[in-house]
Amino acid sequence: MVPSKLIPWSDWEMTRVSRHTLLFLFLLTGCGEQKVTVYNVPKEEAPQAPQVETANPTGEITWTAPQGWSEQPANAMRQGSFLVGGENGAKADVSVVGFPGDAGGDLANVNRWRGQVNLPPVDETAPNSAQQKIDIGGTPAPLFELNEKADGGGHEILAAILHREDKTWFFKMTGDAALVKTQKDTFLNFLKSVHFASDKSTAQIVAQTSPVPTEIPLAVAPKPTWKLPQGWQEQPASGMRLGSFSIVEGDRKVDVSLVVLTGDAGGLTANVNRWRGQLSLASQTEADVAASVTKLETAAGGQAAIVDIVGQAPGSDSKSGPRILGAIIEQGDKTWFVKATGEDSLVEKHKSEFLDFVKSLQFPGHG
Amino acid sequence: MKALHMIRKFLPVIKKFLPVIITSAFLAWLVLSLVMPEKDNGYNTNAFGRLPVLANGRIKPLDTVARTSLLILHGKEAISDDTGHALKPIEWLMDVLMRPANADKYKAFLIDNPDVLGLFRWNQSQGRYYSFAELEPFLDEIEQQTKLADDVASSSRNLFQREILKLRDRIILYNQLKNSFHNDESVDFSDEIATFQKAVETGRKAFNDQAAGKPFNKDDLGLLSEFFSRYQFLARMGVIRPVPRPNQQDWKTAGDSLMETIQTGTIDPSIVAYALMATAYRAQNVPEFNQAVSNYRDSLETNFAGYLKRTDYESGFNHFEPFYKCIILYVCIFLLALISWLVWPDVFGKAAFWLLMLTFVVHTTGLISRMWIQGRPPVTNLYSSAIFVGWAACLLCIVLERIHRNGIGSLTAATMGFTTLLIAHHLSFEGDTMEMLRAVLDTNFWLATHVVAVTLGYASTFLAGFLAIVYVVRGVFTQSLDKATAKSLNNMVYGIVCFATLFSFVGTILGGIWADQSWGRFWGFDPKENGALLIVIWNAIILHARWGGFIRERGLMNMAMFGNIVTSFSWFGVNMLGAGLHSYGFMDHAPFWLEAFDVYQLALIVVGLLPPRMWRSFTIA
Amino acid sequence: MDKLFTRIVKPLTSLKLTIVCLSLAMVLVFIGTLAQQNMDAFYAQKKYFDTCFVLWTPRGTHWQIPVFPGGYLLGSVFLVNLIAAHAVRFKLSWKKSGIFLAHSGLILLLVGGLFTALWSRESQMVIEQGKTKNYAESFKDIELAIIDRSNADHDVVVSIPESLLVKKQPIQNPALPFTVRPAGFFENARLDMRKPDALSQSPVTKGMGVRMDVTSLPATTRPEEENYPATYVELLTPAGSLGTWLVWASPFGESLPAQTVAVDGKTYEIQLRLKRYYKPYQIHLTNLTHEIYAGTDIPKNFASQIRLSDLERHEDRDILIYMNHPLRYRGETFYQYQTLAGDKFTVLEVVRNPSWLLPYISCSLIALGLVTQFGMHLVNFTKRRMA
Repeated sequence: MVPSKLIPWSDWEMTRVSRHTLLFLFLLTGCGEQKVTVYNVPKEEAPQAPQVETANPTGEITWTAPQGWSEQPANAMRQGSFLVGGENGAKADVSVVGFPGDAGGDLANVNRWRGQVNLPPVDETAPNSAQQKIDIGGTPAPLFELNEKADGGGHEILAAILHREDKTWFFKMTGDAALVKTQKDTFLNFLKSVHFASDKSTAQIVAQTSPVPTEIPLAVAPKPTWKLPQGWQEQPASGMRLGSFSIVEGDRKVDVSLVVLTGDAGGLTANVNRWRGQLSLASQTEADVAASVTKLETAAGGQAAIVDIVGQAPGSDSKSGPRILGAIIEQGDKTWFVKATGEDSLVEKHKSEFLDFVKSLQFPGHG
Repeated sequence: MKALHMIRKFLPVIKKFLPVIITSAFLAWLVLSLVMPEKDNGYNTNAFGRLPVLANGRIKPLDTVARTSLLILHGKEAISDDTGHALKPIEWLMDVLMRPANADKYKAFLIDNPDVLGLFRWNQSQGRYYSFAELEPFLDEIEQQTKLADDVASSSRNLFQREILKLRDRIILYNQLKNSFHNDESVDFSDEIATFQKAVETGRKAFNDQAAGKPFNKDDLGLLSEFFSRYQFLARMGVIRPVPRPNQQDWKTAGDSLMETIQTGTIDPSIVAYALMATAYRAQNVPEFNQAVSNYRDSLETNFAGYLKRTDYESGFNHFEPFYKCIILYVCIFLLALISWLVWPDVFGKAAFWLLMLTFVVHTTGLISRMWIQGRPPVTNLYSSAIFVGWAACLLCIVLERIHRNGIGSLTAATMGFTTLLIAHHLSFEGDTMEMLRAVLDTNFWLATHVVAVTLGYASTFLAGFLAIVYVVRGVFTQSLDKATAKSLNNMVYGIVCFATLFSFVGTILGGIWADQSWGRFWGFDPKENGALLIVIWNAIILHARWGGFIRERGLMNMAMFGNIVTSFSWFGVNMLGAGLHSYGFMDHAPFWLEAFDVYQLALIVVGLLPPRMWRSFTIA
Repeated sequence: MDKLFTRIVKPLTSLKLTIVCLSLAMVLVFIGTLAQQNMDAFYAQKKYFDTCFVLWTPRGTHWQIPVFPGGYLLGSVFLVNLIAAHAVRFKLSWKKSGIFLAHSGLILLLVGGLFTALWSRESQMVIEQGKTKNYAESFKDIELAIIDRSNADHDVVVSIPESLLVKKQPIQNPALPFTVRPAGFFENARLDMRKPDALSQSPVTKGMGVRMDVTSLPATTRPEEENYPATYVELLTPAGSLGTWLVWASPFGESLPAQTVAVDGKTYEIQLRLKRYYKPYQIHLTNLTHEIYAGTDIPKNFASQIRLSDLERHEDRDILIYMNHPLRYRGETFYQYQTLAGDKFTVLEVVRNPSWLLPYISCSLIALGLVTQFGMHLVNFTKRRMA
């Protein structure tokens, strides 16, 4: 017999309590069937960036973008993205993608690409023999050249795979075969310029040479202020450029730079002729230059010399040629140059904005 | 006969004063080492070592940079130059920074992996230390091997690959140090920067002329370009930032500062100062070197006095080496306690206890110094957790010894203090032990509460285990485990297990709350969280088994020893799994020692499980 | 009745059972920790702790054999043991007040843990610098979303959870003019373009998947790998089948054009994506900062400067979310989790946990209980020594 003092509750109550407790627990953990749900959401913009995680910590991989490749914004998948345009609307797309691990293996990826240009997949041994070895940032890597058609038409893929630390990097150019072929050397140079922040090369370290820079930061004047026109994108200042802007429309672009030089920087005529030279135009005499230049009053009370030079259109078709719109402002012991370079019609479109911008310039210390 | 009579007469006196004498002797040793000035052969290495620089995100004296760099490359803080003459770490660093050609000849690199040595066609009989000059011809090969090793995922590298990558990293560190003040092949840096200054003026003029389309001096421009690329290299390489700024984040490398000069036209005074030091040192001009150091130091007093206070203190802390001293002290305490069990228990017991208290003061000083220098609670990484475990064990044992007065507390304190400080010493080879804390750990409140509580939990669980070892060893192998001692140990272990349960539980809970505050999840079954939970559960099992009468004295001891295995898994084992949010520590040889420790504990448990009749202490009536 | 008591209830109250539970719990926690060497914490938790039994599948079979009690089972037995022991054996007394407090706290902790396992939900918001978002996504759960964008001011989303896709039974819903029949779900798949001459064995008749081959891959639980799910879906109307599509949660992120189907003049988009939780408010990422310590790459702080706009509650303010300082809003808490793509995207972890308070209460109770109990011990011990 169980001593009664040990049973504060009756047996019946105990079993009931324990039964209900267990049932409750069971229900809690029980099978919550998921159901179809319907809901309204506000209108969305174009699909958002993907959810898969690939981290590109600041500057993990850098490169020198070749001239003529239009850099596209990267997203969480593509650490690098470029558009290359060619004749007759031909296009090629260049992507730099990094994956953790081995991303399924070289063979699987090569076969995936082969599929994309309608080629049959290959077996184990082929990839090792059928390609070139090229240089990505100093490391040898295999290059795969896959043509849809043997005669050079259709699509082509130029791709390289680099295994590095715990990641696999894919560098791929895909597009019209003709364009890709002409861009092959540029692509290879691009690959050579790739640099990883964590690159540690003892040989590099002991070697004393490094490339001579083309720009030496010499700008010393404090920055002027201005009113930035709508639609002008500001880029970081670099080297000689205290201000750098661009106006982009589709794949046409106008580049605007703000540069300061000490002294009179050679004088008006010399600079105008320098710009003329950049457009392959002959130099003008001092008188002619003076005549072609217009004056503009700036908000600060100074005077800017406005120069407008149109270059010759290349070829015989009616596509407009290059144009330089420039402003030269002498202020104290310095001379400021504002220069807009771009396609004639596009520059024309934004000319008044340019003039407004020049007018709005205020130089510290001199008003 | 007379002599013996004399000794017998004075014996009581000796006995009375022995503890005092012993403790005073050690105290004198400590004080002397604190106040004695360091010997230096002319160059004021002390003053140079106290100059502040920024490295690894923290402002520290050059002395610390010297010690930690040497530890990383060399595995110990003592090194000799090529004539066999011993160098202090700061002297070695001075050569690396300012006379790199000499430093290249010192055997600074520790290489003991036979496969790596085989790469250079050397073998282990030629020694473990090699100079950069010896390694230089093989740099290409090292480069090749490391490229291959880089390709392999880090968790699947074999020993050779890990070792060659380590060697590569050390060579890089060495080269970075060589290029921290000036480019390593620079012959006379003061002269160089004077030339540079002129070149900036003429080069800028030439650049402007060119931009304006005027005729310009090609040579001037070329010279400036050369300097530019030279200092660009220096900026990239510099691992120390010697150029001070009011804001800690803005201290600059020598290269960055010189590149700035191209824009501003003036050279930062700190660069000028270091250049003077470098030139004087190269020319072996002792008075000029000392003068340059002292001038620079004076100039820092005006704007950077706050930094100087800390770096001076840290420099003093480095020289005092409190934890190294504690290791020696703990060994002496161990011996004294052991002797106290054999002869004159009162005298040697007292001596051991007083020495323990002195050691505790030194240990505490070390701990608090680290806290002040870093501005952080005591435990911030694995190294500091080891220091803290030793300290907490010491404190608890002082209490135990005070209560029980049988030398067990002193002996156990000595064992644990010695072991934890030894572990800490081995953890210091990764570099600066006062490293910056990553963002998610950057909260002093939780570091002071959760981390301290959990570490106290570790310390006390280990303490219970070590006390149990004393019980088993004395009981099985000697006759000294009499009833009184056994009872005393029983109370000690029980009390410590209660303490351990409380603190490990509180610590684990605080960790959960921190996790909830930081990333919304009280508990995620992360390896470190699980490890802490295991300790709580095990301590709870011990207590419940005791309360239920399922175990008595011997069972308690055996279970406490198993607690050592659980705690070592939680403290170190989980770090070796390399997974989860808590993977902040990293070790290489540790798995072997961990397993050895665990096997040793298991063996002791087996011994402890032997039936009482096999215990020497229990076979006596 | 006595038999019932002796056989069932009494063992439930025994201290032996407590020790057995604790020991089994230790073994389970230990195994669950070792497993995380190769397994992501998320899967380890599901396999060992958020389950009644740890299941083992012998090689080559599909059986799932329970080999060890899982977290739920051990927790429940332990809970019953604790409650039973208190109800039957313990007498309320001042001497044991500490133990009572501690145990009641423990009961509350276990119950709270159960609630959290059942009811808490963690999701993430990935926002690009300068952009706005009004939904959070699950870390791993998948949904098949069918979106009707025909309305001018809102879209109608029908979300079908993964569990229904696996079942293969047709799904009907008043919001849809067709029946959705899942025709094959792949937890992890590799998609390849089909060779031009190859024979197609795929059931896909419409959409981008027509020229693709799907290879089912074993689902991975490794922490550094991801699963890429895909599914075949057939849409049926009373008039017949509209076709079979292949939809996949695209890992390659290049915004693929949506796959659509037109019915009765309306166009519906079909997407397989991470399950979304839409909010009645928006979060705009104004600025993301990531500071590191000078001369190192150790992160010092991550901070997201956001603007919260909630029309319903008339909220429109700037908030700074950074490490150890979350935003608590409308029952959810937003933590600064990480950044992506060179600090262009911020990732906020969004946690809904209605039972968040329970651990705090229970821990206070347990701590109080332990301190009381051990405090009393200590006082007694010192009293005896003084005597």
